[in-house]
Amino acid sequence: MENGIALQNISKIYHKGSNKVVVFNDLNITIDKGEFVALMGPSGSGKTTALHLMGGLDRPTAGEVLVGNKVISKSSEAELTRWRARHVGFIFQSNHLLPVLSAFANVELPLALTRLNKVERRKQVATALALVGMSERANHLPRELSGGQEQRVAIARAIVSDPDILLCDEPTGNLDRKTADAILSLLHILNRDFGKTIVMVTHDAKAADVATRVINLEQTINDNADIAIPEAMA
Amino acid sequence: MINVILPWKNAMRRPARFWLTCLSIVVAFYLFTVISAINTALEASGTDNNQYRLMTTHKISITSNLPIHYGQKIKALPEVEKVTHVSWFGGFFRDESNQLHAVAVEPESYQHIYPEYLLTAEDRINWNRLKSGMVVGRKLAEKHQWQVGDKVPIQSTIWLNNDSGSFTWEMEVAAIYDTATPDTINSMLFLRHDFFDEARAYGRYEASWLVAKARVGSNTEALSRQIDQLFANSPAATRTTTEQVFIKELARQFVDLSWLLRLVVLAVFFILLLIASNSMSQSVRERMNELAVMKSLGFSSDMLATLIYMEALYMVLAGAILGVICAAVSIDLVQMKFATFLPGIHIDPVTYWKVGGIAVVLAAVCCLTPIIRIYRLGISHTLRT
Repeated sequence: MENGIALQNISKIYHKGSNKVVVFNDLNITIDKGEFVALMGPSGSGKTTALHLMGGLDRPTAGEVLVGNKVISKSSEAELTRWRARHVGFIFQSNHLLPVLSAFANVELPLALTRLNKVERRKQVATALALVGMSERANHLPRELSGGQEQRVAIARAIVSDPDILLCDEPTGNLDRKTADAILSLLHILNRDFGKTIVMVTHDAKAADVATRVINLEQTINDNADIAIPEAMA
Repeated sequence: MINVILPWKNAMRRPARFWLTCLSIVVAFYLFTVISAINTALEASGTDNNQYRLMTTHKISITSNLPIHYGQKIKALPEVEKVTHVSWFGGFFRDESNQLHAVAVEPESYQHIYPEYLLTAEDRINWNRLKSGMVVGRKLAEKHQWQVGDKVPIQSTIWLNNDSGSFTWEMEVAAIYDTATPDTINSMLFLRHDFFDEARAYGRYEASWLVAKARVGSNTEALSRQIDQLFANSPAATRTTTEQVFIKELARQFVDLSWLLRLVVLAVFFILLLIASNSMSQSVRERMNELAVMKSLGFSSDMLATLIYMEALYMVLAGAILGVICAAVSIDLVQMKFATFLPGIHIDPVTYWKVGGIAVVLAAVCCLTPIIRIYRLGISHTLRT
């Protein structure tokens, strides 16, 4: 693995009332830098959980998450926050744009965490919007955009601070085929031409075709099914 | 920039909720400001000219009169510099909505004891010459467009005029006074006590209260007791206090202002805590997903807490500013209402700072619950729900 992402011996258990839900038990995934990986599997197989662990949005019950040479599963909340701002861009199924801000202001949001001045920020936002073909709609509010356009703005927001990694949670899940293809094509370009490491959770086999590798979580979990849950986690 | 614009846009997501919450804050800060202004006047009385002024009233009630000749006995005391007598006239001009704060006074002694009502030498001569002359404050003269020399019929609600056989007292504007300090009310009407005494149908040689000016450095408490002892066994026993105490007690016949002020401050806290907290909690609860996304973008809990605080601050400050503006606009009306008993009602600059301070603290308190939620917010869990 060259400065990529590694989930090492990951276990994840959720507690729902008195019940324990084991999502993973000794999961191991390695993703190289510059790879475009599709995470697939049936509902409940832990695709989103794995993605959140890679982005430091969630912590494993046991095991380690390495991104580059950093063990992010041991980082403090504050360290994780700073790390995410610099290195990770998220694209969600529901785009989660702030409805009170224009497309431009939404894309500019992550840059508020940097030391860039206003001119530099505007330049970077304009570049990101141009890349996703949304320059014309920069001043529109999210409610004035179609689903596909909103997702493009969300992608622009994810790439505006030039992160190394893009984590996408079913980015085409709410879109029609044609719009979904356009979004997938955009992600493909970001991976091929800009060298972004992309991990994409998807149910869509056609979406997975764009990826350079597919990881089927159901298979991965089954391969490790005979490993017992550690006492400490039970 | 984001700390300024985004909270404002978030606050205005639901304008109806924002302004309705604001309205309750406006009412609370309005009451706080007005009552602070009244309290300021209460606290201010007795700080300057009037610290050596002693008010003597009938022991039973201020509505019972005292014989004017009491003044001679009081004046004979070594620590008393001057004595004057004052009778409450009341009355109105044209119709009862134009209520006047009118008192009958003895010009020479009254001006000596109350130098804050400014009259020129010419004004004094004019008033001494003209028995039916009255002196009015600049504000009152401007309100009714009175000029010196105008003959004005004043209606009394208490005093029958023997000369006219009615409750109408025709007087001439002898002078218009200005005031030395902003604390002094400039909408009073003074008529001459000798003119009033000769014409009134009853109550001659009596006054509503007497005012003694003690010599500088006197022990006013001891002097008050001394004055009351002079009339202890007479049919009209007296009660003497400093002017400050007199004004406070008079005002407290209507309401205990300090107590009311504390109550209103408490009400401000409760109203804001209940209404604004609920409003803020609801507002934040509706967009936990957005906050989770912002956290995923790299916004720390501290930064999000600042944004929420700013949002609450906008709401509380908007209410506070509107409340203070309403109070400033209506303070003249309040001043008129209390003019006779409590001149100098005004919004002290310190009140503005207090309002600002309360707004800042209350904004923090009312967004406490949402901020705790933000610190506890699990990004992954929130995004899934």
